[in-house]
Amino acid sequence: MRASPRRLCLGLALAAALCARTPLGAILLSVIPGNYAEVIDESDLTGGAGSNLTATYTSASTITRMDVTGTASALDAWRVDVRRIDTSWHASLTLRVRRSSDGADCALPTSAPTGGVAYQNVETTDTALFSGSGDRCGINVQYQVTGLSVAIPPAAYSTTVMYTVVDI
Amino acid sequence: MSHRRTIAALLTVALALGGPLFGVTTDTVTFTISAINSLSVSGSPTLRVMTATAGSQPDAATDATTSYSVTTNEDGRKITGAIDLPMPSGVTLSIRLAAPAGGASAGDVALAVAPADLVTSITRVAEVARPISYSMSATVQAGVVAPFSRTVTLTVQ
Repeated sequence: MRASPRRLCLGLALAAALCARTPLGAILLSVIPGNYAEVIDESDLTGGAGSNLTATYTSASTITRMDVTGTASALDAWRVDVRRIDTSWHASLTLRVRRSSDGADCALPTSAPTGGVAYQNVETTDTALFSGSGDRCGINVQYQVTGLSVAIPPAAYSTTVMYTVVDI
Repeated sequence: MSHRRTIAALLTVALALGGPLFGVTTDTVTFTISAINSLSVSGSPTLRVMTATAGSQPDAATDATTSYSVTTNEDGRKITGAIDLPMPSGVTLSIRLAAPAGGASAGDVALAVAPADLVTSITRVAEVARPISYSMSATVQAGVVAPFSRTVTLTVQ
């Protein structure tokens, strides 16, 4: 049976749509997770008995490292989004994150990422953290947790931080 | 469904699948908060029973110069009090702690070697300089008692 021109065009469009996004073209985000953890005890009281807990804790600036690779060129732009998936997080705790280093060229020369140098809250929905273009390696992020007090009962509070790199 | 609709649906699916390229990876943040029960007291008061009204037992000696500070992140904690040695016969040492917010003071409690509840229902609180009042009374049967000291131990538990 001979295909009509309209059917042929639609078929070509479908093939183009499917081929345009192959795994070979995927931008990869790899993270060396820092798994930031703190144990809070009596030594964290600001002034001994009668005082409250230190409210804010900050991780090392190099605790987590990420590489963005697999871009098509040095001009291939991307954005890293961040969100959290709570395992057992307390509503009084606020998790914040910031980009603490620019990273470096993985191979070809690229520009430093932009944005994300100030702390921003990590919410349960994706928010943009920083953006860049081309392959970029060794970008560090740093965490900050605020809101600790004796009003939070003793327990382990954990959340998973999910980073997504989006081709833009 | 017509062929045209079928192809259009396939295109929609294909474009959806072929949306922005992405990679996803995760990290974790964990805060482990231990049980915290911290208490401190100020001062070492001195009490002397020295006066009496004719026909009555000696006047009690009182002191309200000391205080305590408490922090707990647990629920339903209490403060107990005890002394290291029994009081001399005919002499009673009582203590009263003002409760922190939400707590309940037991009022004046005679101290003994066995711990007694002084404040109960303490829940997730951090307060400084809560007043402590001591009262020492003696009956005439105690007679003249040489100076002595007792260590009062307050415990939050």
